[in-house]
Amino acid sequence: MLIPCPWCGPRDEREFDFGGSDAKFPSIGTPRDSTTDTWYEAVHIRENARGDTRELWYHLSGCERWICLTRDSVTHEFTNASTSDQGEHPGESDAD
Amino acid sequence: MENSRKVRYSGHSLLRNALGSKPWPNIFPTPELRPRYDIVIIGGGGHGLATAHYLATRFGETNVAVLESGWLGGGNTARNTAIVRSDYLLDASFALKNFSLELWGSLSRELGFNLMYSPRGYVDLAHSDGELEDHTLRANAMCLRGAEARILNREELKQRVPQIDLSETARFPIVGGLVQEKGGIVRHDAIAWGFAKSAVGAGIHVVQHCPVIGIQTDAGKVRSVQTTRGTIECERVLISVAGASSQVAGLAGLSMPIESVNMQAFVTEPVKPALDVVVNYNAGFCYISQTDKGEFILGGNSDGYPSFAKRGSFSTIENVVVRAIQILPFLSNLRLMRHWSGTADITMDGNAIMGATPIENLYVNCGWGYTGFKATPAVGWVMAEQLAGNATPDLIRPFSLDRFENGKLIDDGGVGPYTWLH
Repeated sequence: MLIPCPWCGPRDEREFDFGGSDAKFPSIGTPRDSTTDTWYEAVHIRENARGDTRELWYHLSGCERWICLTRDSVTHEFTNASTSDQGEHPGESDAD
Repeated sequence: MENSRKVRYSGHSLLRNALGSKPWPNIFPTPELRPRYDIVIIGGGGHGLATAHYLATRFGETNVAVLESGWLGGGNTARNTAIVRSDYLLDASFALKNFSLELWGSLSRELGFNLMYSPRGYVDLAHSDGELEDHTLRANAMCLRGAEARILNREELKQRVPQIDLSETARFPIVGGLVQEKGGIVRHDAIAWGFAKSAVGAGIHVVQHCPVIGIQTDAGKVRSVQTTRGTIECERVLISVAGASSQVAGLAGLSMPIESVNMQAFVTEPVKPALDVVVNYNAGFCYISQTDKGEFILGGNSDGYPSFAKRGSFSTIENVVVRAIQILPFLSNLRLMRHWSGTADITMDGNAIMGATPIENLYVNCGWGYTGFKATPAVGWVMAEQLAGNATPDLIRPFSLDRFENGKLIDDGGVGPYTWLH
Protein backbone atom coordinates (compact mmCIF):
# COMPACT_ATOMS: atom_id res chain seq x y z
CA MET A 1 0.00 0.00 0.00
CA LEU A 2 1.39 3.39 -1.02
CA ILE A 3 0.02 6.13 1.20
CA PRO A 4 -0.29 9.57 -0.38
CA CYS A 5 1.15 11.84 2.32
CA PRO A 6 0.09 15.39 1.49
CA TRP A 7 3.51 16.61 2.70
CA CYS A 8 5.84 13.93 1.30
CA GLY A 9 4.00 12.38 -1.64
CA PRO A 10 3.28 8.66 -2.03
CA ARG A 11 5.25 6.65 0.55
CA ASP A 12 5.31 2.99 1.61
CA GLU A 13 2.86 2.03 4.38
CA ARG A 14 5.80 0.83 6.53
CA GLU A 15 6.58 4.49 7.27
CA PHE A 16 3.16 5.09 8.83
CA ASP A 17 1.27 4.29 12.00
CA PHE A 18 -2.47 3.78 11.81
CA GLY A 19 -4.28 6.22 14.10
CA GLY A 20 -7.87 5.06 14.01
CA SER A 21 -10.91 6.43 12.29
CA ASP A 22 -11.35 10.17 12.01
CA ALA A 23 -14.48 10.10 14.15
CA LYS A 24 -15.53 13.28 15.87
CA PHE A 25 -14.98 12.88 19.56
CA PRO A 26 -17.05 14.45 22.33
CA SER A 27 -15.03 17.08 24.18
CA ILE A 28 -13.74 16.36 27.67
CA GLY A 29 -16.43 17.06 30.22
CA THR A 30 -19.33 15.96 28.04
CA PRO A 31 -21.83 14.51 30.52
CA ARG A 32 -23.22 11.04 30.07
CA ASP A 33 -26.37 11.41 28.09
CA SER A 34 -29.28 9.50 29.55
CA THR A 35 -30.68 8.31 26.22
CA THR A 36 -27.64 7.70 24.04
CA ASP A 37 -24.37 7.24 25.77
CA THR A 38 -22.14 9.40 23.60
CA TRP A 39 -18.97 8.24 25.31
CA TYR A 40 -19.82 4.57 24.82
CA GLU A 41 -20.49 5.19 21.16
CA ALA A 42 -17.35 7.24 20.65
CA VAL A 43 -15.00 4.86 22.41
CA HIS A 44 -16.40 1.48 21.39
CA ILE A 45 -18.74 1.63 18.45
CA ARG A 46 -17.18 1.55 14.98
CA GLU A 47 -18.78 2.19 11.64
CA ASN A 48 -16.40 -0.45 10.20
CA ALA A 49 -17.52 0.46 6.70
CA ARG A 50 -17.00 -1.83 3.76
CA GLY A 51 -15.90 0.89 1.36
CA ASP A 52 -14.73 4.45 1.97
CA THR A 53 -13.44 5.21 5.45
CA ARG A 54 -12.04 8.48 6.84
CA GLU A 55 -9.00 7.73 8.95
CA LEU A 56 -5.95 9.25 10.59
CA TRP A 57 -2.41 8.10 9.88
CA TYR A 58 0.83 9.27 11.46
CA HIS A 59 3.85 9.57 9.18
CA LEU A 60 6.27 8.21 11.76
CA SER A 61 9.31 7.64 9.54
CA GLY A 62 8.71 10.72 7.44
CA CYS A 63 7.38 14.17 8.18
CA GLU A 64 6.10 13.04 11.62
CA ARG A 65 2.73 14.66 11.04
CA TRP A 66 -0.82 13.41 11.40
CA ILE A 67 -2.65 13.20 8.11
CA CYS A 68 -6.25 12.49 7.24
CA LEU A 69 -7.07 10.03 4.46
CA THR A 70 -10.08 8.57 2.71
CA ARG A 71 -9.38 4.92 1.99
CA ASP A 72 -11.52 2.20 0.47
CA SER A 73 -11.36 -0.70 2.94
CA VAL A 74 -11.99 -3.25 0.17
CA THR A 75 -9.63 -2.05 -2.57
CA HIS A 76 -7.18 -0.05 -0.38
CA GLU A 77 -7.49 2.83 -2.82
CA PHE A 78 -7.00 6.36 -1.52
CA THR A 79 -9.33 8.99 -2.88
CA ASN A 80 -8.55 11.90 -0.61
CA ALA A 81 -5.61 13.00 1.49
CA SER A 82 -5.43 16.10 3.59
CA THR A 83 -3.42 17.48 6.44
CA SER A 84 -5.24 16.70 9.66
CA ASP A 85 -7.36 19.73 10.53
CA GLN A 86 -6.30 19.49 14.16
CA GLY A 87 -2.63 19.54 13.16
CA GLU A 88 -1.96 16.89 15.77
CA HIS A 89 -3.69 13.75 16.95
CA PRO A 90 -6.83 14.68 18.86
CA GLY A 91 -5.88 12.23 21.59
CA GLU A 92 -2.64 14.09 22.20
CA SER A 93 -4.27 17.48 22.33
CA ASP A 94 -6.53 16.21 25.09
CA ALA A 95 -3.72 14.55 27.00
CA ASP A 96 -3.17 17.40 29.45
CA MET B 1 -36.98 -35.47 6.02
CA GLU B 2 -36.18 -34.15 2.55
CA ASN B 3 -32.59 -33.88 1.47
CA SER B 4 -31.25 -35.40 4.63
CA ARG B 5 -28.92 -38.28 4.05
CA LYS B 6 -26.73 -40.09 6.49
CA VAL B 7 -23.39 -40.94 4.97
CA ARG B 8 -20.95 -43.08 6.91
CA TYR B 9 -17.30 -43.25 6.00
CA SER B 10 -15.60 -46.56 6.74
CA GLY B 11 -13.18 -49.06 5.25
CA HIS B 12 -16.19 -50.76 3.73
CA SER B 13 -17.51 -47.57 2.11
CA LEU B 14 -14.04 -46.82 0.76
CA LEU B 15 -13.83 -50.25 -0.87
CA ARG B 16 -17.38 -50.09 -2.21
CA ASN B 17 -16.88 -46.66 -3.77
CA ALA B 18 -13.45 -47.56 -5.15
CA LEU B 19 -14.88 -50.59 -6.95
CA GLY B 20 -18.26 -49.15 -7.87
CA SER B 21 -18.87 -46.93 -10.87
CA LYS B 22 -21.07 -44.42 -9.04
CA PRO B 23 -19.50 -41.24 -7.71
CA TRP B 24 -19.39 -40.66 -3.95
CA PRO B 25 -22.72 -39.34 -2.71
CA ASN B 26 -22.96 -35.58 -2.31
CA ILE B 27 -23.14 -35.05 1.44
CA PHE B 28 -24.22 -31.41 1.10
CA PRO B 29 -27.15 -31.44 -1.35
CA THR B 30 -28.75 -28.04 -1.89
CA PRO B 31 -32.07 -28.15 -0.03
CA GLU B 32 -35.27 -26.34 -0.94
CA LEU B 33 -35.71 -23.57 1.62
CA ARG B 34 -38.74 -23.95 3.84
CA PRO B 35 -40.85 -20.86 4.42
CA ARG B 36 -40.27 -21.16 8.16
CA TYR B 37 -37.59 -22.45 10.51
CA ASP B 38 -37.37 -22.45 14.29
CA ILE B 39 -33.77 -21.30 14.17
CA VAL B 40 -31.77 -19.59 11.43
CA ILE B 41 -28.00 -19.48 11.73
CA ILE B 42 -26.41 -16.87 9.49
CA GLY B 43 -22.90 -17.98 8.61
CA GLY B 44 -21.82 -21.51 7.74
CA GLY B 45 -18.34 -21.32 9.19
CA GLY B 46 -17.00 -23.62 11.88
CA HIS B 47 -18.86 -21.79 14.66
CA GLY B 48 -22.24 -21.74 12.89
CA LEU B 49 -21.98 -25.37 11.79
CA ALA B 50 -20.82 -26.52 15.23
CA THR B 51 -23.84 -24.74 16.69
CA ALA B 52 -26.09 -26.59 14.22
CA HIS B 53 -24.46 -29.92 15.07
CA TYR B 54 -24.98 -29.48 18.82
CA LEU B 55 -28.52 -28.14 18.33
CA ALA B 56 -29.35 -31.47 16.68
CA THR B 57 -27.36 -33.80 18.91
CA ARG B 58 -27.87 -32.17 22.31
CA PHE B 59 -31.30 -30.61 21.97
CA GLY B 60 -32.99 -32.45 19.09
CA GLU B 61 -33.56 -29.16 17.25
CA THR B 62 -33.55 -29.98 13.56
CA ASN B 63 -35.88 -27.36 12.09
CA VAL B 64 -32.79 -25.25 11.59
CA ALA B 65 -31.26 -23.54 8.56
CA VAL B 66 -27.60 -22.57 8.24
CA LEU B 67 -27.18 -19.89 5.58
CA GLU B 68 -23.72 -19.48 4.08
CA SER B 69 -23.00 -16.70 1.59
CA GLY B 70 -20.01 -18.50 0.09
CA TRP B 71 -19.08 -22.16 0.32
CA LEU B 72 -18.33 -24.44 3.26
CA GLY B 73 -14.75 -24.08 4.38
CA GLY B 74 -14.25 -20.97 2.25
CA GLY B 75 -14.05 -18.46 5.06
CA ASN B 76 -11.93 -17.97 8.15
CA THR B 77 -12.50 -21.58 9.29
CA ALA B 78 -10.03 -22.74 6.67
CA ARG B 79 -7.89 -19.59 6.48
CA ASN B 80 -6.23 -19.76 9.89
CA THR B 81 -3.05 -21.54 10.96
CA ALA B 82 -5.04 -24.41 12.56
CA ILE B 83 -3.52 -24.00 16.04
CA VAL B 84 -5.47 -25.05 19.13
CA ARG B 85 -4.40 -24.23 22.71
CA SER B 86 -5.80 -22.83 25.95
CA ASP B 87 -2.97 -20.86 27.54
CA TYR B 88 -5.09 -17.94 28.71
CA LEU B 89 -4.79 -16.05 31.95
CA LEU B 90 -8.26 -14.61 32.51
CA ASP B 91 -10.94 -17.02 33.76
CA ALA B 92 -13.55 -16.40 31.07
CA SER B 93 -11.14 -16.86 28.16
CA PHE B 94 -9.47 -19.87 29.70
CA ALA B 95 -12.68 -21.69 30.61
CA LEU B 96 -14.13 -21.54 27.11
CA LYS B 97 -10.93 -22.38 25.26
CA ASN B 98 -9.95 -25.19 27.60
CA PHE B 99 -13.41 -26.73 27.26
CA SER B 100 -12.87 -26.56 23.52
CA LEU B 101 -9.51 -28.30 23.81
CA GLU B 102 -11.20 -31.11 25.76
CA LEU B 103 -13.81 -31.57 23.01
CA TRP B 104 -11.35 -32.00 20.12
CA GLY B 105 -10.20 -35.42 21.34
CA SER B 106 -13.53 -37.18 20.81
CA LEU B 107 -14.91 -35.12 17.92
CA SER B 108 -13.55 -37.15 14.99
CA ARG B 109 -15.41 -40.21 16.25
CA GLU B 110 -18.54 -38.23 17.10
CA LEU B 111 -18.71 -36.65 13.63
CA GLY B 112 -17.54 -39.67 11.65
CA PHE B 113 -15.04 -37.36 9.98
CA ASN B 114 -11.31 -37.30 10.65
CA LEU B 115 -10.38 -33.88 12.07
CA MET B 116 -6.75 -35.00 12.47
CA TYR B 117 -6.41 -33.42 15.93
CA SER B 118 -2.71 -33.61 16.63
CA PRO B 119 -1.86 -32.69 20.25
CA ARG B 120 1.80 -32.21 19.45
CA GLY B 121 2.52 -29.49 22.00
CA TYR B 122 2.42 -25.73 21.87
CA VAL B 123 5.50 -23.77 22.91
CA ASP B 124 5.22 -20.07 23.70
CA LEU B 125 8.68 -18.46 23.84
CA ALA B 126 9.78 -15.74 26.25
CA HIS B 127 12.53 -13.24 25.50
CA SER B 128 13.14 -11.59 28.85
CA ASP B 129 12.92 -12.46 32.53
CA GLY B 130 9.81 -10.31 32.78
CA GLU B 131 8.14 -12.13 29.94
CA LEU B 132 9.05 -15.50 31.45
CA GLU B 133 7.51 -14.34 34.75
CA ASP B 134 4.35 -13.50 32.85
CA HIS B 135 4.38 -16.94 31.19
CA THR B 136 4.88 -18.54 34.62
CA LEU B 137 1.90 -16.67 36.02
CA ARG B 138 -0.17 -17.95 33.10
CA ALA B 139 1.09 -21.53 33.46
CA ASN B 140 0.37 -21.54 37.19
CA ALA B 141 -3.10 -20.14 36.61
CA MET B 142 -3.74 -22.90 34.05
CA CYS B 143 -2.57 -25.61 36.46
CA LEU B 144 -4.77 -24.23 39.24
CA ARG B 145 -7.78 -24.53 36.96
CA GLY B 146 -7.06 -28.13 36.03
CA ALA B 147 -5.12 -27.76 32.78
CA GLU B 148 -1.56 -28.79 32.18
CA ALA B 149 1.29 -26.37 31.42
CA ARG B 150 4.99 -26.27 32.18
CA ILE B 151 7.71 -23.67 32.10
CA LEU B 152 10.87 -24.69 30.28
CA ASN B 153 14.25 -23.08 30.87
CA ARG B 154 16.78 -22.78 28.06
CA GLU B 155 18.24 -26.26 28.64
CA GLU B 156 14.82 -27.89 28.66
CA LEU B 157 13.80 -25.92 25.60
CA LYS B 158 16.84 -27.23 23.78
CA GLN B 159 15.63 -30.77 24.51
CA ARG B 160 12.00 -30.08 23.60
CA VAL B 161 12.54 -27.96 20.46
CA PRO B 162 16.11 -28.51 19.25
CA GLN B 163 15.36 -26.73 15.97
CA ILE B 164 15.04 -23.21 17.35
CA ASP B 165 17.92 -20.76 17.49
CA LEU B 166 18.84 -20.49 21.19
CA SER B 167 22.14 -18.67 20.73
CA GLU B 168 22.92 -15.73 23.01
CA THR B 169 23.72 -13.61 19.97
CA ALA B 170 20.26 -14.02 18.42
CA ARG B 171 18.45 -10.79 17.64
CA PHE B 172 15.95 -11.47 20.43
CA PRO B 173 17.55 -14.11 22.67
CA ILE B 174 15.16 -16.70 24.09
CA VAL B 175 15.20 -17.20 27.87
CA GLY B 176 12.56 -19.90 28.20
CA GLY B 177 9.06 -20.83 27.28
CA LEU B 178 5.67 -22.15 28.26
CA VAL B 179 4.65 -25.53 26.89
CA GLN B 180 1.13 -26.93 26.77
CA GLU B 181 1.39 -30.51 25.56
CA LYS B 182 -2.33 -30.79 24.73
CA GLY B 183 -2.04 -27.87 22.33
CA GLY B 184 -1.46 -28.63 18.68
CA ILE B 185 -3.16 -28.44 15.34
CA VAL B 186 -6.45 -29.63 13.83
CA ARG B 187 -7.27 -29.98 10.15
CA HIS B 188 -9.31 -26.82 9.76
CA ASP B 189 -11.38 -27.43 6.62
CA ALA B 190 -12.41 -30.85 7.95
CA ILE B 191 -14.08 -29.05 10.85
CA ALA B 192 -16.46 -27.24 8.51
CA TRP B 193 -17.18 -30.42 6.55
CA GLY B 194 -17.44 -32.66 9.60
CA PHE B 195 -19.90 -30.47 11.50
CA ALA B 196 -21.88 -29.82 8.30
CA LYS B 197 -22.07 -33.55 7.52
CA SER B 198 -23.41 -34.26 10.99
CA ALA B 199 -25.94 -31.41 10.84
CA VAL B 200 -27.17 -32.36 7.36
CA GLY B 201 -27.40 -35.99 8.46
CA ALA B 202 -29.71 -34.92 11.28
CA GLY B 203 -31.99 -33.09 8.85
CA ILE B 204 -30.71 -29.53 9.27
CA HIS B 205 -30.63 -27.46 6.09
CA VAL B 206 -27.16 -26.19 5.23
CA VAL B 207 -27.52 -23.78 2.32
CA GLN B 208 -24.44 -22.58 0.48
CA HIS B 209 -24.28 -19.50 -1.76
CA CYS B 210 -27.20 -17.95 0.09
CA PRO B 211 -26.28 -14.47 1.35
CA VAL B 212 -28.59 -12.74 3.81
CA ILE B 213 -29.68 -9.33 2.55
CA GLY B 214 -32.13 -8.29 5.23
CA ILE B 215 -33.28 -8.99 8.77
CA GLN B 216 -36.84 -7.94 9.59
CA THR B 217 -37.89 -7.11 13.10
CA ASP B 218 -41.29 -6.42 14.57
CA ALA B 219 -41.76 -4.59 17.88
CA GLY B 220 -38.13 -5.18 18.86
CA LYS B 221 -38.35 -8.87 18.04
CA VAL B 222 -36.78 -10.66 15.11
CA ARG B 223 -39.36 -11.95 12.64
CA SER B 224 -37.75 -13.05 9.39
CA VAL B 225 -34.56 -13.19 7.41
CA GLN B 226 -34.39 -12.12 3.79
CA THR B 227 -32.00 -14.01 1.54
CA THR B 228 -31.22 -14.05 -2.16
CA ARG B 229 -33.34 -17.23 -2.28
CA GLY B 230 -36.37 -15.77 -0.58
CA THR B 231 -37.60 -14.70 2.82
CA ILE B 232 -37.63 -17.08 5.78
CA GLU B 233 -39.82 -16.67 8.83
CA CYS B 234 -38.06 -17.69 11.98
CA GLU B 235 -38.26 -17.86 15.73
CA ARG B 236 -34.62 -17.21 16.61
CA VAL B 237 -31.61 -15.99 14.63
CA LEU B 238 -27.89 -16.31 15.28
CA ILE B 239 -25.43 -14.07 13.46
CA SER B 240 -22.11 -15.89 13.25
CA VAL B 241 -20.33 -14.29 10.32
CA ALA B 242 -16.87 -13.21 11.55
CA GLY B 243 -15.48 -10.46 9.30
CA ALA B 244 -18.90 -9.39 8.03
CA SER B 245 -20.42 -9.03 11.53
CA SER B 246 -20.79 -5.23 11.37
CA GLN B 247 -22.56 -5.48 8.02
CA VAL B 248 -24.96 -8.32 8.92
CA ALA B 249 -25.75 -6.90 12.38
CA GLY B 250 -26.29 -3.59 10.57
CA LEU B 251 -29.13 -5.23 8.62
CA ALA B 252 -30.99 -5.44 11.92
CA GLY B 253 -30.05 -1.88 12.81
CA LEU B 254 -27.33 -2.79 15.32
CA SER B 255 -24.02 -0.94 15.61
CA MET B 256 -21.20 -3.17 16.80
CA PRO B 257 -17.99 -2.46 18.73
CA ILE B 258 -16.04 -4.20 16.00
CA GLU B 259 -13.32 -3.49 13.48
CA SER B 260 -12.51 -5.90 10.66
CA VAL B 261 -8.84 -6.42 9.95
CA ASN B 262 -6.85 -8.47 7.50
CA MET B 263 -5.01 -11.56 8.77
CA GLN B 264 -2.45 -13.34 6.63
CA ALA B 265 -0.99 -16.83 6.65
CA PHE B 266 1.66 -18.50 4.53
CA VAL B 267 2.99 -21.94 3.67
CA THR B 268 6.43 -22.88 2.46
CA GLU B 269 7.20 -25.66 0.03
CA PRO B 270 6.77 -29.10 1.64
CA VAL B 271 9.80 -30.84 3.14
CA LYS B 272 10.40 -33.90 5.29
CA PRO B 273 9.25 -33.72 8.94
CA ALA B 274 11.51 -31.23 10.72
CA LEU B 275 9.37 -29.64 13.45
CA ASP B 276 7.00 -31.59 15.69
CA VAL B 277 5.61 -28.79 17.86
CA VAL B 278 3.81 -25.51 17.38
CA VAL B 279 6.12 -22.62 18.21
CA ASN B 280 5.03 -19.10 19.03
CA TYR B 281 7.70 -16.40 18.84
CA ASN B 282 6.75 -13.37 20.86
CA ALA B 283 9.42 -10.96 19.66
CA GLY B 284 7.41 -9.45 16.86
CA PHE B 285 4.88 -12.27 16.83
CA CYS B 286 5.13 -15.25 14.53
CA TYR B 287 3.67 -18.74 14.99
CA ILE B 288 5.00 -21.73 13.13
CA SER B 289 4.12 -25.38 12.73
CA GLN B 290 4.63 -28.04 10.09
CA THR B 291 1.62 -29.57 8.39
CA ASP B 292 1.19 -33.27 7.72
CA LYS B 293 1.99 -32.52 4.08
CA GLY B 294 5.35 -31.11 5.18
CA GLU B 295 4.70 -27.44 4.54
CA PHE B 296 5.68 -24.96 7.23
CA ILE B 297 2.70 -22.81 8.03
CA LEU B 298 3.44 -19.30 9.28
CA GLY B 299 1.22 -16.66 10.77
CA GLY B 300 1.76 -13.27 12.37
CA ASN B 301 0.00 -10.10 13.34
CA SER B 302 -2.86 -8.47 11.51
CA ASP B 303 -2.02 -5.85 8.91
CA GLY B 304 -2.86 -3.25 11.54
CA TYR B 305 -5.69 -1.29 9.96
CA PRO B 306 -9.30 -2.06 9.00
CA SER B 307 -9.58 -4.01 5.78
CA PHE B 308 -12.02 -6.21 3.89
CA ALA B 309 -9.55 -6.77 1.04
CA LYS B 310 -8.74 -10.43 1.82
CA ARG B 311 -5.29 -9.78 0.43
CA GLY B 312 -2.28 -8.85 2.47
CA SER B 313 0.28 -6.12 2.54
CA PHE B 314 3.90 -6.88 1.69
CA SER B 315 5.19 -5.30 4.88
CA THR B 316 3.37 -7.94 6.96
CA ILE B 317 4.62 -10.77 4.75
CA GLU B 318 8.17 -9.48 5.12
CA ASN B 319 7.78 -9.01 8.85
CA VAL B 320 6.45 -12.51 9.49
CA VAL B 321 9.12 -14.13 7.32
CA VAL B 322 11.90 -12.19 9.09
CA ARG B 323 10.61 -13.38 12.48
CA ALA B 324 10.25 -16.95 11.27
CA ILE B 325 13.88 -17.01 10.14
CA GLN B 326 15.06 -15.51 13.42
CA ILE B 327 13.57 -18.45 15.28
CA LEU B 328 14.16 -21.27 12.75
CA PRO B 329 17.12 -20.18 10.61
CA PHE B 330 16.85 -23.18 8.27
CA LEU B 331 13.55 -21.78 6.96
CA SER B 332 15.57 -19.31 4.86
CA ASN B 333 16.31 -22.22 2.49
CA LEU B 334 12.62 -22.72 1.73
CA ARG B 335 10.42 -20.83 -0.69
CA LEU B 336 7.01 -19.49 0.25
CA MET B 337 4.51 -21.38 -1.87
CA ARG B 338 1.24 -19.67 -1.10
CA HIS B 339 -0.14 -16.92 1.03
CA TRP B 340 -3.72 -15.98 1.76
CA SER B 341 -5.80 -13.71 3.98
CA GLY B 342 -9.00 -13.68 5.93
CA THR B 343 -11.11 -10.88 7.37
CA ALA B 344 -11.06 -11.05 11.17
CA ASP B 345 -13.49 -9.05 13.31
CA ILE B 346 -11.87 -7.66 16.42
CA THR B 347 -13.71 -6.04 19.29
CA MET B 348 -12.53 -3.13 21.38
CA ASP B 349 -11.17 -5.39 24.15
CA GLY B 350 -9.96 -8.11 21.80
CA ASN B 351 -12.40 -10.72 23.10
CA ALA B 352 -15.46 -12.23 21.50
CA ILE B 353 -19.09 -11.19 21.83
CA MET B 354 -21.61 -13.98 22.42
CA GLY B 355 -25.24 -13.99 23.39
CA ALA B 356 -28.27 -11.75 23.28
CA THR B 357 -28.65 -8.39 21.55
CA PRO B 358 -31.08 -5.52 22.19
CA ILE B 359 -33.34 -7.22 19.62
CA GLU B 360 -35.29 -10.07 21.13
CA ASN B 361 -34.43 -13.55 19.79
CA LEU B 362 -31.51 -12.18 17.79
CA TYR B 363 -28.19 -13.53 19.03
CA VAL B 364 -24.63 -12.83 17.97
CA ASN B 365 -21.40 -14.73 18.03
CA CYS B 366 -18.69 -12.46 16.71
CA GLY B 367 -15.59 -10.46 17.50
CA TRP B 368 -13.33 -13.50 17.64
CA GLY B 369 -10.56 -11.70 15.84
CA TYR B 370 -7.86 -14.24 15.25
CA THR B 371 -8.61 -16.43 18.24
CA GLY B 372 -11.85 -18.02 17.05
CA PHE B 373 -10.67 -21.23 15.46
CA LYS B 374 -9.48 -22.92 18.66
CA ALA B 375 -12.81 -22.21 20.34
CA THR B 376 -14.99 -23.70 17.58
CA PRO B 377 -16.54 -26.76 19.29
CA ALA B 378 -17.03 -24.98 22.63
CA VAL B 379 -18.74 -22.06 20.91
CA GLY B 380 -21.05 -24.45 19.09
CA TRP B 381 -21.81 -26.21 22.37
CA VAL B 382 -22.75 -23.07 24.29
CA MET B 383 -24.47 -21.21 21.45
CA ALA B 384 -26.65 -24.28 20.84
CA GLU B 385 -27.65 -24.17 24.50
CA GLN B 386 -28.48 -20.47 24.19
CA LEU B 387 -30.48 -20.93 20.96
CA ALA B 388 -32.37 -23.96 22.24
CA GLY B 389 -34.15 -21.56 24.54
CA ASN B 390 -32.26 -22.30 27.72
CA ALA B 391 -30.76 -19.72 30.04
CA THR B 392 -27.54 -18.08 28.95
CA PRO B 393 -24.78 -20.60 29.72
CA ASP B 394 -22.24 -19.53 32.35
CA LEU B 395 -19.40 -19.93 29.88
CA ILE B 396 -20.66 -17.12 27.66
CA ARG B 397 -22.14 -14.75 30.24
CA PRO B 398 -18.88 -12.73 30.55
CA PHE B 399 -18.82 -12.25 26.76
CA SER B 400 -22.09 -10.32 26.54
CA LEU B 401 -22.46 -7.45 24.09
CA ASP B 402 -23.42 -5.01 26.85
CA ARG B 403 -20.07 -5.41 28.63
CA PHE B 404 -18.72 -2.49 26.60
CA GLU B 405 -21.45 -0.25 27.98
CA ASN B 406 -21.04 -1.57 31.52
CA GLY B 407 -17.26 -1.40 31.48
CA LYS B 408 -16.81 -5.10 32.26
CA LEU B 409 -14.22 -5.60 29.56
CA ILE B 410 -12.26 -8.85 29.27
CA ASP B 411 -8.83 -7.60 28.39
CA ASP B 412 -6.43 -10.50 27.92
CA GLY B 413 -4.00 -8.18 26.20
CA GLY B 414 -2.23 -8.91 23.00
CA VAL B 415 -5.15 -8.45 20.65
CA GLY B 416 -7.62 -5.75 19.86
CA PRO B 417 -7.71 -2.52 17.92
CA TYR B 418 -6.80 -0.57 21.07
CA THR B 419 -9.40 2.02 21.80
CA TRP B 420 -6.73 4.18 23.42
CA LEU B 421 -5.66 5.07 19.89
CA HIS B 422 -8.30 7.72 20.28
